[in-house]
Amino acid sequence: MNKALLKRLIWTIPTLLGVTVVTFALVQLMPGDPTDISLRSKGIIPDAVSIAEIRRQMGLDQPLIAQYGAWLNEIFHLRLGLSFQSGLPVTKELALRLPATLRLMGASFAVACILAVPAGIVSAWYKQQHLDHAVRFLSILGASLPHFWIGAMLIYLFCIRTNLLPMMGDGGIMNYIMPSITMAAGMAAVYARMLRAGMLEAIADPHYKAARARGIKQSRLIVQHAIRPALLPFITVIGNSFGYFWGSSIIVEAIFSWPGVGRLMIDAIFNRDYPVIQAITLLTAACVIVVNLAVDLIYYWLDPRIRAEGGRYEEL
Amino acid sequence: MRNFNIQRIRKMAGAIGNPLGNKIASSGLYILLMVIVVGILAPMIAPHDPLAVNLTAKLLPPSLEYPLGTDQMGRCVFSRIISGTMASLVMPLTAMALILLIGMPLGVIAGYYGGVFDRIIMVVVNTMLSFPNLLLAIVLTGFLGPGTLHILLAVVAVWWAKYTRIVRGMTLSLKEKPYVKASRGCGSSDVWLMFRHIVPGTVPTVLVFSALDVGRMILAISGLAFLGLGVAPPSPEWGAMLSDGRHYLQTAPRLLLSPGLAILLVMAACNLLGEGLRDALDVKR
Repeated sequence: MNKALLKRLIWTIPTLLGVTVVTFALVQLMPGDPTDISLRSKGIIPDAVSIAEIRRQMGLDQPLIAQYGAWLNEIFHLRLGLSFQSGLPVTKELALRLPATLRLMGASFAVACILAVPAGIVSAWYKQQHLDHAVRFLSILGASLPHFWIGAMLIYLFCIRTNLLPMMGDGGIMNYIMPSITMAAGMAAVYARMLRAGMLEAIADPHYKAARARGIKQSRLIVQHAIRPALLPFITVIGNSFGYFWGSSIIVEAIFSWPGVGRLMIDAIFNRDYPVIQAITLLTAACVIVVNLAVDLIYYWLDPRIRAEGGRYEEL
Repeated sequence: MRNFNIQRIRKMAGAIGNPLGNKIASSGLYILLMVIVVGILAPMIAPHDPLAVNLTAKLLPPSLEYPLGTDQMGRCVFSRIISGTMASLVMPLTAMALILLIGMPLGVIAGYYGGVFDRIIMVVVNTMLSFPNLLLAIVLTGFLGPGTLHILLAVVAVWWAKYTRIVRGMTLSLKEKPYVKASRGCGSSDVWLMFRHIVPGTVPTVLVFSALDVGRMILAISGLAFLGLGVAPPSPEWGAMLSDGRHYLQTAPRLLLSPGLAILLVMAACNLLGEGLRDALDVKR
């Protein structure tokens, strides 16, 4: 194994620890007493005795660092606490909601690719011509539209005016159309731009000229020597878009009443259900770290130049 | 007749029409300037008081008196949109200034000195970048409560790390450049090297990213408003208007349409400026 890659793996550990510190600190930032919220959520009127009792139960009488240690131990054993709102274990709530969000993210990713891949290729191939200008105009438009605005306009056009699509919830395939388009619009613009830039770079590369000079068939030339090299940096963008999709799912799920993690998050924020907020924040950051690590490993596997030099991880 | 030179006039006209040397970037800049002028002149242009409630004239369709109709409280939507311009623009611009003020020096110092300080900064930066922007902003404003200052705080807390990372990465390569080494050889101090020679080298890249990010911030702030975590009404602000308007999607969709188009215009301007500058200054990534 390459030394730089090993370094990359090792540096993931402090980042993960940092994420737990931030998540823990967020709850300390929260105004209001968690014991008070916890008691009220169980229907107990807080008084001095019950507060002292629950403080001891929750370990809040311990110093902060001990609290953090105890919490970290719980997290490590995947015990994320009980939701104040429902009284169920947070892990159970998450397991219930996660599939819906992941399905929506998958659908959005597919829509973004369906829109962006042909657009990016066409745009690069007809560089500085009408088609390219049209694609670039559309991609700037796509990146400029607020999610909820696209969502609201889609609902207005397809539900209120024409009644073509179901408006809310997670049901059949028709239910995916509007939320996934809403979520994909911004990312499709980024994908198309990246693909265009990558292809133009590949076309400017000497190896492309050499391939063309050899007289390779044009379709093969485009696929093998222009698109293929452009796909490598694309993997990084896909990794980055994971966090973006996850973040925007909060808003998209709120618009379309999608029964996923995003809705759980919003409900939790308005109800100050801090075990749920903490769990979702932590889960998200951990997923982002794992996805980024996976992207780097895929790179390592795909690109022999990196295996030789370790150049990509030099920054760390 | 010395000044009457057709080429010179053409050049001047070119400078006015295309001040940034890139048509896309220049058009973005002009749209932004236009929006800012409208925002400054809002009290003079607005046909009505943006706060005047008139319940007898609520939810009116567009007319000569009310160019974009009225909202659920009979306030003039057109007046509210142009009066909300400054509120909608000042916050992201202030946030961006603060982010650069925090992010750039940290990045330069970390990249320049390296060592333990660099390690610590990078762990903090990588930690912050592991949280999706929108998620962290929502959690922070959710905890701190709505309000201009809290939103500003949340946006800065979420975004600064990106600039530290960008500037640090550039510092690592810039400090090895011959002109920096030459200056060091002449006995320049560390502070001089960092701020006279390295920081200017990072400016083009930072400029491109900040133009794009101001747009993204407007989007994020309006997203917070949509979720009910935004600036408190009744002060006119586009995100808050959208948030109010969503209850009238069935009866008066124009209440959503017009602030959405205002956001779209500014966002598109930021994106044009950013993408144009990216081409013009040849910024990668």
